[in-house]
Amino acid sequence: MDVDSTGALVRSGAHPRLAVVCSAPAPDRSVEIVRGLLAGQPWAAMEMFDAYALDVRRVLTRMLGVDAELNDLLHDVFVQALEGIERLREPQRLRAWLIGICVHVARGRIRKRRRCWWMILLAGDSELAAATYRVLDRLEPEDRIVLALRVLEGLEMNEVAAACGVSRSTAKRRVAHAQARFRELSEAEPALREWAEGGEA
Amino acid sequence: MSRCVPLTTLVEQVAREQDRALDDVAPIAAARARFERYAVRRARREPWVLAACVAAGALAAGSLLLWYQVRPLGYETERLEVQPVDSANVLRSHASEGAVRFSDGSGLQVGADATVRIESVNAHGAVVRLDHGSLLASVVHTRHSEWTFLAGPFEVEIIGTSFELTWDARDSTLNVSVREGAIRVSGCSVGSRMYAGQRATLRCVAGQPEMNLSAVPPSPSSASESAPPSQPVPSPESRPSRLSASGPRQAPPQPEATDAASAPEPADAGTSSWREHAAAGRMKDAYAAAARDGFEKECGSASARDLLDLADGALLSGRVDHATFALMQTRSKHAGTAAASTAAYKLGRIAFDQRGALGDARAWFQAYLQEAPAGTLAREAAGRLIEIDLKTGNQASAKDRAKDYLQRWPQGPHAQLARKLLEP
Repeated sequence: MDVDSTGALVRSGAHPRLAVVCSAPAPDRSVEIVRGLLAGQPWAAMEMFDAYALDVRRVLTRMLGVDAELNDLLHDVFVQALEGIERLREPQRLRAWLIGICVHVARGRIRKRRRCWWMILLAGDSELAAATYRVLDRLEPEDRIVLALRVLEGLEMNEVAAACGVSRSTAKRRVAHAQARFRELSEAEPALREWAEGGEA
Repeated sequence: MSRCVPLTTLVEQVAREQDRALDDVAPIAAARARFERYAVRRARREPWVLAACVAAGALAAGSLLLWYQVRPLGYETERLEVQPVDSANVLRSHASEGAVRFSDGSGLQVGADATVRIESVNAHGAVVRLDHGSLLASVVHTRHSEWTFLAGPFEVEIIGTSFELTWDARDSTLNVSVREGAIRVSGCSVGSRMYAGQRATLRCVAGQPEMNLSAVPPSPSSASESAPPSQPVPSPESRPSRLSASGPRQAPPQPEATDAASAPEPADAGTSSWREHAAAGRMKDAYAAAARDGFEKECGSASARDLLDLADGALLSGRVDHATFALMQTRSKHAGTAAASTAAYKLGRIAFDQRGALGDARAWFQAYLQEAPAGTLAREAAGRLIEIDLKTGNQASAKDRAKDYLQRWPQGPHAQLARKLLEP
């Protein structure tokens, strides 16, 4: 984990963005994919899915935790992308655009969860992960999303800003605020406290 | 913090656990098969089905349009006491500002201690009488708009979209400030057309009109205080030329022709297109490249997203005038979009942070909140409005805003300030 110029924590070496590096197509394929999508070609839709589904699933999970409806949300992201492809002006930004859609879908899901308290994370989550997401659940949705994208997913601040549709400085301010809140709220979670005292499991 | 949780390793462990669990919870193959079915079905949609859908949609849209054309506008009020009197509704504000929002997107901000009467409403507008105090009107203008504002003997006919009225019944004085577009003021044997940037004081003494019209705001500082929410704010360089303009209608300030030459040119801007730089998140380089190619021309062909990127780059490069220009382009060319609302927020930031023009900043942040009440920047805009109220000594309004803020964002960055304000 590194600390950037704003004092924000950023994941580094231990979790490099392997999936991003391995699964992202070369920029020229993004352009081809978008061209195919605009022409209504099913192969382009599937190539987009194959190229980015792992990224999308992972980004959604970072923002939401391991959600029982993850596959539905994944489907929603790609359907929205397919139906709204005319709005993508720069084909080479396909991945960033998809992450923006992820943020939109995740935001809706977080709000739905708040209305429906019985929607909880899967029981398969460890207590540590569950406690982490309990704390995240108590953050404002916008704070939670920037924190997840920046710290859990390790996106660059520019990418976070683009995905959330805010300026870089706003994203930075939100990350700093969200981190402070996370630390404050995590004091009340025994699992996180014990873990902190006992070191990494 | 002595016992703070070390996020450094916690997030890594959580991320590892998540990655292990993902294939069990959401097998990618199942999701792929489902999406493939969708994509294939979508591609196979028969043309006649599409045509039928289009025809049905057109019919529905036509019916809806007809309905909208005859249905009177609806409106709702905020922080106003509403009292029906005869066929009108009398709206009174008390210590803080109130607001009226019409279903076509038009809105009135009613100043503190003001009385406004909505005399009638139809499908294309309303007749609004200002009995006392001030109001700021932002009217969505269409070919069919029928908005009329009355104050004492004066009548303001809307040709444009945004203006401010203050009526003092004691000495029959009407102050008018046009922020955008144009209006026609008449009454008391006077009739005059006014354009964006103009202010006038009108009095009616014994049936005789007195009209004092100022072509432009008298000084740069007051100009910045009165600049409209949707009117370009002149750059420091362009102000002298505005002041010397002779005609009543002023062209929006444009960046000077020499801007490109004087713009900073980072070493790595090279010959890449500004869009490539923007796509890579290098906003400063994107701006430098756009300035090199002609900033105004590049803005002309830019998408809403591009314009916001260029504005960010210009700001990072210290070119507030160019940032303002790009944001105003976003507002005018992409009105009604999320990008236009974001531009309003950014213009508020510029007014607040760069120019210290709190009046402008307030108008922009309010515009953002009006257009995107649940937008991603709503919390920041609401917080800034509290700060502005405090800086301008508007304690009562600040408290109202603080209450609203705490209700919506009890843990937001301005929550502490809001709580402090509400302390007895």
